[in-house]
Amino acid sequence: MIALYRIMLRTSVTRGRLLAFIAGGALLDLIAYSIRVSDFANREVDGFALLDVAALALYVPVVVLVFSTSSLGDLAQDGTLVYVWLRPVASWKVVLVALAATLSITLPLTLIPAWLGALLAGVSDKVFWGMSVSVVLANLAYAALFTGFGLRVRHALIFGLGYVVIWEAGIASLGKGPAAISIRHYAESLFAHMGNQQAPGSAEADLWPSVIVLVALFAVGVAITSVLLSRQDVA
Amino acid sequence: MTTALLEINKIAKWYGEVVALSGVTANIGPGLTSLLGPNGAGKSSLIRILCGLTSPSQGTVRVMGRDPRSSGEVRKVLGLVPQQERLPPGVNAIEFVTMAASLQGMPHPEVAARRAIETVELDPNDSRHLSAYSKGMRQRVKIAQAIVHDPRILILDEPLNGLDPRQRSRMAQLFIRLGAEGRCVLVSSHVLEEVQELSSTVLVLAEGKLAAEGDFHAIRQLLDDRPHRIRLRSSDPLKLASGLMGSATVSAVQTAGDNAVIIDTWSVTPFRRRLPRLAQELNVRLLEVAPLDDDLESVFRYLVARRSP
Repeated sequence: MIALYRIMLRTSVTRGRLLAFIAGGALLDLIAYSIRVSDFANREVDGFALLDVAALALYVPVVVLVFSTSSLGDLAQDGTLVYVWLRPVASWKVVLVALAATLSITLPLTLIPAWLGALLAGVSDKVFWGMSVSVVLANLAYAALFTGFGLRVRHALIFGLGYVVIWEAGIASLGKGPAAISIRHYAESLFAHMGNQQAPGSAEADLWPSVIVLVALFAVGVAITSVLLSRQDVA
Repeated sequence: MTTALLEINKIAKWYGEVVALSGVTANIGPGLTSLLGPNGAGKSSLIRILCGLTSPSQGTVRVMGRDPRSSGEVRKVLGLVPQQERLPPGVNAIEFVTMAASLQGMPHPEVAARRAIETVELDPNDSRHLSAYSKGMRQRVKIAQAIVHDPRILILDEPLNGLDPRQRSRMAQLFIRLGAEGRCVLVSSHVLEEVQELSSTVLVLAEGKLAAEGDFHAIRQLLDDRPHRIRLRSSDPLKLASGLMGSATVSAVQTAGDNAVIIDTWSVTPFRRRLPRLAQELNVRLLEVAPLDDDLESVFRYLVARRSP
């Protein structure tokens, strides 16, 4: 399985993707630094808002979307999935390896700039750790969702961006109903509770339900993607 | 009695309005079998169904008595060389074949991978990425990943594509050896000469239907024993046509433009022997002798039409 992990990692990690996201992370940190040096900003409140909106609600889902839709999706699109699918390995194991490959690149790509941003903005320890836990759990939930999405949907990147921008950032912010089926809603609620800050918009879920939902989304995502993979028509 | 390892029972496969396979029934046992047919005949669809990569729209397929779509046991004993050329980017041959061995549960994946790569006459120490390999080398890497676990059933979709004549001959010898050792080896090809080299049992697939089956010599005979249509251009087509009408080797004659006569014959070799002498007797100069239906496509079309009720 380690050989498969390495191949999946090399398939999805390209220099262009890495450079683009490192630049995105650097931009986030630059804005965080501007909060620290600004005379008008409240470091705790504005730092939390920046990390919530820019890091948790935008940067994390986009980074995870790009890498997780390609982990199995690229193999399915270019016809190389056959070299994995036709082996006597349970589909859930293949999905877990794909997720491990995705997370081993998305976690550092999202956590490091978020940590640096928190330090540069000068937020409290509560906000720092709240953000860290939220980013990790959001990574898990988004990765499980988008891996299956990439496997089954052509142009998954475009549809995934539609989900992040139109659903999560738009429709889900309009009320509790649509927010309940948004990963962002639970990640932001968790961040707000742990950071002891006011949750933005409709993000009002309690602490433990938020944790449970994010972990459950990961488990359900793995299960659904495993079933999709086992029933996949392979080129 | 030979046990069929691959049982194909009245399968059909369609993609929307396109029918790829229709009512194909065959049993394939141990040894080397060739699947011959022109491009678009349904060979790859049949192979994908046999490997469980897709389900038939109708009918059933059994591999060693099991459904290949759902059986993990089938995947343990099956090796496939798929038709698509693409291989994972950013890896070299040993990494790729080691991954295959590892996923097959081999106890020493890298040792098995080295052996398989050497079997296809590549260097396991070559650190270049597969994208830097020639088409023939990539084709041999695909064969290596298929044989790395010493499968009982080996299915190869156009495996000789892209190989030079020497490599083609060496790989053909490998397939013959693997078949002779008792494995079930199914090789698809659209090139008659490749199948001739393999000298195996042959299934002929055309227009999604099984057009013929038997050993290569029987198939060759079938291909030869059919009406051939030949165009003859000459200095005096009418004189040649009247001369040909009296010939026992010719079943039909018609004149065409450009000083040409088109004839049908069931006995192409005797006809070719007789033709120069006849032209000499009639004092007619032959300008061109061109077979009109010797391409494989028309041969397959004939076989399909012959089998249709």
